[in-house]
Amino acid sequence: MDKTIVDILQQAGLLIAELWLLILAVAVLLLDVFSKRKRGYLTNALAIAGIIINFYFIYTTSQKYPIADQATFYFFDSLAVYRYTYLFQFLFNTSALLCLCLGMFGRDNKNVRRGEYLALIIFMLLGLHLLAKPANFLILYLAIELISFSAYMLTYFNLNKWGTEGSLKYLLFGAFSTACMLYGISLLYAFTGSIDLEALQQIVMQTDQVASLLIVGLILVGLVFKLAAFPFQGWAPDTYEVAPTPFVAFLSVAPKIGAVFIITLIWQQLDAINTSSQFLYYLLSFITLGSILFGNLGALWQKKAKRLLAYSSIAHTGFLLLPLFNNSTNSMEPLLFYAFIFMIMNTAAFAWVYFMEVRLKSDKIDALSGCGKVQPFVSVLLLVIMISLTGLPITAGFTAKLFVFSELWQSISTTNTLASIVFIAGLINVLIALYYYLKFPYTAFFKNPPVTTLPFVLNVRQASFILVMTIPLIVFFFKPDWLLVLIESLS
Amino acid sequence: MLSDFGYILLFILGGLMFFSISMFVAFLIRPQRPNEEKQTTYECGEDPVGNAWGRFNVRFYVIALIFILFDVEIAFMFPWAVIFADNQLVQETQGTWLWFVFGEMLLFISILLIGLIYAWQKGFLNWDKPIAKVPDFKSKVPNDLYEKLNKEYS
Repeated sequence: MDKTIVDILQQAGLLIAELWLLILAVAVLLLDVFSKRKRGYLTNALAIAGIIINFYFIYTTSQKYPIADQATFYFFDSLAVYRYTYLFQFLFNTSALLCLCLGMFGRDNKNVRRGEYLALIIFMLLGLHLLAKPANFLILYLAIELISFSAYMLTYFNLNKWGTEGSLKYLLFGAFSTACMLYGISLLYAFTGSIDLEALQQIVMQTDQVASLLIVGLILVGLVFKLAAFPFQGWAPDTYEVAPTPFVAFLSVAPKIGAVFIITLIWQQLDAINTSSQFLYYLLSFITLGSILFGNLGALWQKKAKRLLAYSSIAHTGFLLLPLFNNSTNSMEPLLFYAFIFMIMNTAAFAWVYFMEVRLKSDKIDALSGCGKVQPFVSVLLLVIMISLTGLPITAGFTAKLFVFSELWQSISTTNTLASIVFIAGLINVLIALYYYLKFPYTAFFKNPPVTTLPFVLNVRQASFILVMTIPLIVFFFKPDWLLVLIESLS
Repeated sequence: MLSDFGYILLFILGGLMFFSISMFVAFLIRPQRPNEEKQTTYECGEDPVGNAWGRFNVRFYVIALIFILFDVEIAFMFPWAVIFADNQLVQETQGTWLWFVFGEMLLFISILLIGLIYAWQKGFLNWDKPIAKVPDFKSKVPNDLYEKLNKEYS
């Protein structure tokens, strides 16, 4: 018993970033309650400063608890440091920072409850930090719930009746999928007497196929829902449409990448034993192909920019999962590269939509018409972002898709015939995507606005934000090794 | 020596005695003037029998949510209190145990307390009373006309 407490106190340093975020969230709430100024500049500044400081805490933790090829376990096997833990924490932190910076541009009724909004974002980030290092399903579940509950509430923060409806729908869907996942975890515990991630191997080896399929399937339901991937994607457009846009830029990136990370962890567990892997590949191709197809076809008909981007993010989920087809150990690198680029370009696209909303109170794509003639340079940036989302050259979106597809190509040539179908279907879908992504620049450059309205313009601050987000998209096309070096140094 | 179930029996007996004695004393000293409202089952000021779709005042929910916060706190504090001053654990760890567990509870309570402070400061605990609106409509029909009408048909 003596040893136990000493162990806990010694390992407490592992949680320093999480503790910092907790303190930060509470400080933001209290500052908001007790400050006299109601505009919330101060709380905003505190939150942004806190998240920047959090980079330092992630860095110190990574120095004290270094990563190894194998996972290292802490707190009696409830937390673990995986090879990519700090990298994912870095990603989540960056995404939250971008979201808060983007939020600075809005001057509307969200300022009324600024403190709550910021604190919930920080709590969500806290959940994501825990999501990067679970060693058993209990911690995983708690992390997912912390993310989800914050997300349900944040969806409401446009403070109107559509927000209430969307948030309630999201809550009901989310509760359903979480219940499925919990049921899977409890079945796992009933069969093996353990809730460690490793228990998955045991279940697949020891029990019959039906039971193991049921358990793995039920656990995947919860994760795939968080991922907004194919069979459980329906909530994404409705939620994104009503939620505050800076938050959507966060929601559509960070929890998604987190869920991908967890799925890769589960995959590694299951891949270590080769008995049922053929079925797993069927499941994986069902999820990836379904997401890509559904996302692209759904996006074709959309008139509203936010719904369109929601469908596009569903399609991107499918591409994010493609590297899993290759079961060699280094398959994380294309995924991480894709995740980084996806974060940048998605945030840039949502930033554009947000600026439209702030100015025009609407996110119809038609509202862009005439923009290209008034502001050609800024509209070229829009073109670059959209080309990058499609995945065509001179943007990093192309490089990311190239890595992902070449990873998939390797797995075709080595083992899997199933992968070839996915490969071809994925390539065709890039072409479909071209049509709806180019709607944005096409409207901006070639359509004339109605004579009564002035074309939509960005002010200097907004344009510079877009510019800052676009530069990496071009730079990482010419110098992808810079990003790879960053990924390498963090993992 | 009592067995564990013996303690439970004692608790049941004690509960019964407490209940019956207090009811009996109340019976002796209370004034007995029953009316219809008093005869109904006591349910915190709500109507005890009614449609399942009956509506509660939305203000109850806020109070209930904040109550649940502290209800959960108690659920954690009971098992905590049982092991807090465990002599064996304290001696084995030379007192580190006490500080560790105390700090844990302090953290837990302070987070809940911040929630309470937040709700209080934002005014969620205020029971805002509805403002009675006196209708400012002035009828053109004089009152005695109504009275005449009432007399005619009564």
